[in-house]
Amino acid sequence: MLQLKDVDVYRGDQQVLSKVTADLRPQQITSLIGPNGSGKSTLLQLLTKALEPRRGVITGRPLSIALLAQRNELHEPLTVRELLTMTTDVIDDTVVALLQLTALLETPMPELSGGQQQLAWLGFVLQQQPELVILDEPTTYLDLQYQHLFLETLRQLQQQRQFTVIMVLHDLTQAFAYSDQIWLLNDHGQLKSGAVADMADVDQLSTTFKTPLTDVIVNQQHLIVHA
Amino acid sequence: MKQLYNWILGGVLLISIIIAMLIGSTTIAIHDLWQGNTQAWHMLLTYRLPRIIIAVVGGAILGGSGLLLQIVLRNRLIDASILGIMNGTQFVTIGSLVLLPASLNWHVGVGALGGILIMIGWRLFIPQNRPRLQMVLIGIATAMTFQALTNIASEGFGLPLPSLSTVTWADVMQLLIIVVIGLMLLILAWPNLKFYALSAQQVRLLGFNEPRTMWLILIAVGIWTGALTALLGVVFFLGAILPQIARLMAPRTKSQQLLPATMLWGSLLLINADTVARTILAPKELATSAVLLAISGPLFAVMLLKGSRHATT
Repeated sequence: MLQLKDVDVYRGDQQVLSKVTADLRPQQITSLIGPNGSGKSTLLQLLTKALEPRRGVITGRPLSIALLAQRNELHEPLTVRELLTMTTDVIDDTVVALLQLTALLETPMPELSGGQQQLAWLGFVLQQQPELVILDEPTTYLDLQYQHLFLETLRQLQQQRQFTVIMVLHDLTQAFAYSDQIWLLNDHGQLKSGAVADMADVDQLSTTFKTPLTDVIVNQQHLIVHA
Repeated sequence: MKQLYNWILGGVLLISIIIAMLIGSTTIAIHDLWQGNTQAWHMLLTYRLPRIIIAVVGGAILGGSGLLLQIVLRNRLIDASILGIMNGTQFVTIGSLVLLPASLNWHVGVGALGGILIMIGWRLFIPQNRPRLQMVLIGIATAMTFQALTNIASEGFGLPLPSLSTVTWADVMQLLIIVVIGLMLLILAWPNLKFYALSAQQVRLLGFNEPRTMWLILIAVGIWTGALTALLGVVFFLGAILPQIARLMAPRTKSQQLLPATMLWGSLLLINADTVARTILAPKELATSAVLLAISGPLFAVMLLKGSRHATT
């Protein structure tokens, strides 16, 4: 799918991304991780074409891209149903059931909890049947229960629908538990990528995040130990 | 419930219109009209009716413009006056009258054209997509600048301030044509207005032609504002307040659906303010815009205080 080759991105005079080369694996979940200020948001902006690289080439951008941010603005008090049917008339009931929104379809979005709203937005995104789903720290403002529910639901839907996902996550535990591929950005805007098992390198992660990590366990039950 | 609410507003409006037709510095008795008293009919048709029509229609587009701007700019704190558009169109209209005094008969149409000009200029030269309160401040600064320019332009020329007491049937015709054109633009834009519930970034990713919809609405608002300002003068805050009043009566309603109610409230407000302006100090007349300003300032403050949950940032 999407390929970046030797991409350099500058904000003004400041170089944010440096010779980034990576291949976004189609129909897999990729997590983009890195310390604050490493350029994760900038990289996402490249994918949505909100930014252009100064050097390097980006090819293979899919036609249908959907974005889910940390906070998604809604300027009208739409009900869940109205949000889901904004671009299409028909609602997929199985998806709605998976998102635990069946009983909430007629509820206005402002009346839902943050977690429920974020799930509704996920439903909105999937209604567009995108090839690529970009998620920018989707779990940051959710409480723990909803963080896991959201990521678990995302993975189930991804396995069913086979769309490609790239998501920025702060929580390494979640990133390693719910992805197939990891893209690791460091302070200098350099990217390393690989399968989750290959990227589970304690030393590399400790250096990049400048924090000692003692153990990285990759299994479906999601746990990483911090020092 | 919403339908009933609109019907009630319509009914109150009808009553207000009838009252406006009958009272004033000279009271017209229904009795006289019924009997075909030509003097009564003459007064009604020459002076009262044009004025009433302009107040009702003008009030509607005042409210409508405010709501439409709030929708497409995703900002509930603004209207055409707060953004400086009204003062801008006034400046263009006054400027045209100074340069071409013969255009006085067409000043409503001139106002509308000025509205298009100012709207394009605003979109191109004024910073957009700033935080909501910042947009308000930028707008007020714009308004003040145009006000100063207007004062300079009209300074030695002794131009009459706009007033509803001097409106003619020619003005009514121009206004109605402008309203119809605006409505046609609105109808074209209508199906896409729902997407303004989403952020601009989301809409872009969905692939919808947001600029086209935005421009249709901005031009409609521009011509309506220009025409209105030529007739009424600059009236601050009402375009922003009227949608909130409509929303108060029907919470959890989407902005698009509030358009009829907002327009009805606008008509109600304007016709009654005009009636008050004509009668409260009879036989002298207050400027309608003065009556409106007396109400709108405090109302806007109340609106900001009450709505601070949604309004800020």
